[in-house]
Amino acid sequence: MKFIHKITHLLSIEWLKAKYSTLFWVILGGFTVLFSIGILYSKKVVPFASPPLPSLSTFLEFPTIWDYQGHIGNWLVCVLLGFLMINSITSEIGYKTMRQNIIDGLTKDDFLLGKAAFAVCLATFATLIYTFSTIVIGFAHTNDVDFTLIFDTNGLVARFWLMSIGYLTIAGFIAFGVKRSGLSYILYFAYIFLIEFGIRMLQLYYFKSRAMLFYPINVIEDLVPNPLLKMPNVFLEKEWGFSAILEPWEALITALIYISIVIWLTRYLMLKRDI
Amino acid sequence: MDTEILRIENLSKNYGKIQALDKVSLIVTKGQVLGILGPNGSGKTTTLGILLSVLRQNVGSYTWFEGRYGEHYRKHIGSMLETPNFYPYLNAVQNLEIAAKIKGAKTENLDEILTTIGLYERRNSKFKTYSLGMKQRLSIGACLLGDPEVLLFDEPTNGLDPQGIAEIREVIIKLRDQGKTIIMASHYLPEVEKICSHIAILKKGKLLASGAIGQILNDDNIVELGSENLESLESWIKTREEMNINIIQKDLIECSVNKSITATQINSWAYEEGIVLSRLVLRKRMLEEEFIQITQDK
Repeated sequence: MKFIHKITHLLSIEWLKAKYSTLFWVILGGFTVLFSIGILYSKKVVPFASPPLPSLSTFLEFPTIWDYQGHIGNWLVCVLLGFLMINSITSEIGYKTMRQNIIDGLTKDDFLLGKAAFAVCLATFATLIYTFSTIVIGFAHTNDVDFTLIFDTNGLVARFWLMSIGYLTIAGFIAFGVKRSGLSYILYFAYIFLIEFGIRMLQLYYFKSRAMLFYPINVIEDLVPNPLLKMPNVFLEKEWGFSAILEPWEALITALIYISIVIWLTRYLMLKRDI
Repeated sequence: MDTEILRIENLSKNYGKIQALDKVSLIVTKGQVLGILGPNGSGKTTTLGILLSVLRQNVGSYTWFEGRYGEHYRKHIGSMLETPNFYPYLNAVQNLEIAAKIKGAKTENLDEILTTIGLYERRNSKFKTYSLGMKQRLSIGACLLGDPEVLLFDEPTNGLDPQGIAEIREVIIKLRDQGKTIIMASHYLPEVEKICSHIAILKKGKLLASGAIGQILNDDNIVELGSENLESLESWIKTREEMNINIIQKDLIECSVNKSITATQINSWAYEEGIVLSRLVLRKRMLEEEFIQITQDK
């Protein structure tokens, strides 16, 4: 009870900081709009695309719409909410308001907990948008809706939430570690799009093994795997001798381990450093 | 026995090879107004930073309020450390609301606080539009939230114009008169002398002196003497046991004299020796002079 009261208190402080921030609303608005209508763009592209791109009905109908919306969400959370998370921390460091919050009475753990609660709210918000937009678009495009099909998601919604937490945790760690906003954005996006991918490709080239699938970002991505990889994966599996996509339970357990390590490291940095 | 507000024991902090604080120990009791003095880099801000948990000491410890509030002691201290730190996209009221929320303080008296610090008219302007003086005032305003037991200021009048300095000084004096315990780091010695009951002098991280101002200040008075023949004047002063030369300037000599000696006595002694004084000013010793002497001696 005491813990819930504390979390509510810390969240109300974060809310006071965020609610008048233009950037906060622009990013959340952009996220909602892009997430809600992004998949409808497939109507323009898919009819003119050639195989192996699946048919339009696969994109927009239950149950496969969950995979495609999830994949769009994967990108949006990674880019937009990751950016917002980094901004919410580095701006506090840059404006020295983190320091002031501590001076005013928060402990370092309180400050971290407040940011963690903020990340959980963002992840929950993203998951809600994911769920509602998928249900609405799916209903609008599926004939003879079968309710068992609608919720045939294999825990994808929960995995989407954990994926969001994963990205936001890594974004938070980089922000606390690097402190400067520009450098944090560069490192975050460089790691996600270049560094880890580069290391995995080197590993694939020199000592091909399944271990290449267990890098942090790949694990987080595979919580909601790219549905467009399903078909090429059949060929890759034959060539490599293993699937290019982790099993959901593997991604889940490894992601939980990574998230715990990253949270521990962030706290260690925060408590050890002068601010 | 006075209630202990803060106990510092053997506090040391180094930044690599630089020793910023060296075994500083100090006790502050309720109602004291402590001025922490020291040249740039003496460790004033480092001391306050450690006391507010934003810096980590390497050695030593400190205890606020005899440990009554545990790790939440900062909620009972109104603190202003270095530059004013607020959210630039928020206005004064919104910024104070955040500080109040953190402290668990009520927000009903925000208007009163804003009036006290002279920001009521600009309360709805964003922080980023404020001048340095206005930012400094908002910082003082945030310190007043929740009617804290202790106020801790780091150079509170830094960046203010003379009118602003006078206004902030008035606010601090009012707080002192309400019986608040105040800890204040300052370069501005006349301000400390006017406001503080106690001082602590730091140099290169070492505590050189601490105690009530009356104890620290030498009892001696200062006399400024001038004559057309400064060499004869200097030779004569050296023969007088009651007078010690502090500084010899171009056209005057400044000496320390016992407080029982009057200007008439000095004038008559000089006249007896055939020295005509063109200048004779007897005054109390100022904190600035004591500070310079202490920091030079050690």
